[in-house]
Amino acid sequence: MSNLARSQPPLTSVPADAQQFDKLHTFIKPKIDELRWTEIPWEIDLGHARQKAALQNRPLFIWAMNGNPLGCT
Amino acid sequence: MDQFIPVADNCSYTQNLSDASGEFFCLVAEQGHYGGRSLPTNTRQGLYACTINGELLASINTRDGNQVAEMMRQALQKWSQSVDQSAKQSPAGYDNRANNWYDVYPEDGMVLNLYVRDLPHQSAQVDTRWNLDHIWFAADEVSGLIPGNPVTGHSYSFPQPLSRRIAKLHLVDIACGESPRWKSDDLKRVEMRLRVQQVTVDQIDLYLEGTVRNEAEPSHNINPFTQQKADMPRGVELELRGYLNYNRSAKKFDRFDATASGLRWGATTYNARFNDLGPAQIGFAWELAVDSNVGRTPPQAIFQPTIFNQYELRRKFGH
Repeated sequence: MSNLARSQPPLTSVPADAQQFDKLHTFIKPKIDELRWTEIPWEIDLGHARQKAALQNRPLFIWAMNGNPLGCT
Repeated sequence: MDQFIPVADNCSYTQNLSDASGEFFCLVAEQGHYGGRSLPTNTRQGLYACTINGELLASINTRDGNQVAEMMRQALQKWSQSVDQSAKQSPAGYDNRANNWYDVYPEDGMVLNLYVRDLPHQSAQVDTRWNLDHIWFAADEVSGLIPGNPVTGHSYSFPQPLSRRIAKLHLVDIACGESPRWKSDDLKRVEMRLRVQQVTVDQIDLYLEGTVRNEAEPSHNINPFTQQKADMPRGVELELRGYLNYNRSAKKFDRFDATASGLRWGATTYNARFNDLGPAQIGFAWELAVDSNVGRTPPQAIFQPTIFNQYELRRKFGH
């Protein structure tokens, strides 16, 4: 996933209150730009994707990873 | 991307199948960037554009967006010239098989997204790679988080099987690459508690606190790409905090936000830490997952047979 450099203010590693918690939680979660790949309507079954490609006369685009690309790889 | 049918696939599983999907993937992959290769590994991961009959249009293995865009342009150009383009018949051998554990999704339970990334060092320059996993809860595990008689201010233990499962399978340094899960003996300290913050007719607000320390002996496995090996212990020492809101009428959580933050150290064969052994700050964040193909992706650990059995047995038999 994205490895673009970004500078951030120092975070409190262990949040002491709700405000610090929100800051840490937000920092760890991916930003909108980092989630654009989730907007693609990925099929999750190769056989079903082939059928759909045949019906719509389109080529397949396969994202293949060691581990499920839509989860942890 | 609109001109393609996009599909995501776990190729380490598919490339070993002997059915139609496995044969199709291998047919495509053997024409691609890693075709015929067995060293340093036999991985076929990457991006492939192809026709439904398995004719490769283009392939690449990269995280560079410009290279991917160029690969897609080349594929579409070849597609426009391909005689295969007119092939509209349904692929032979399609067996409508649920092959990737999506069918054991806990429909009546709960699913959390788990994100992980490095936290800023004092130098302020931090690797911004991140990763995503999912945590599955069966329905009875969700209800088991709620005390029978909730009293504001009281605290109680997070169910131990759940806390140990989270520590073992999900608090793993995968920020920059894949990593094996912990073994039971690696769990040195797992403590999680829930404190009742507020009780109303409609809702119970809970605060999660906890500590997890995991440490494993070095594997001494050699990374076949870099020839480096993990020859020091690896570990995490994390503090957990979280805010949970339970909807009493719907019998589900409306909020399950939590963090686990602290130190990680050491490396595993493929988690890209050989040049960043730490100790260094790492953070995990949980939130409720949205019901989508991405949100329904099974936990990574489910692909380990013993772990799959753990989830599957729970689903079927409730234990």
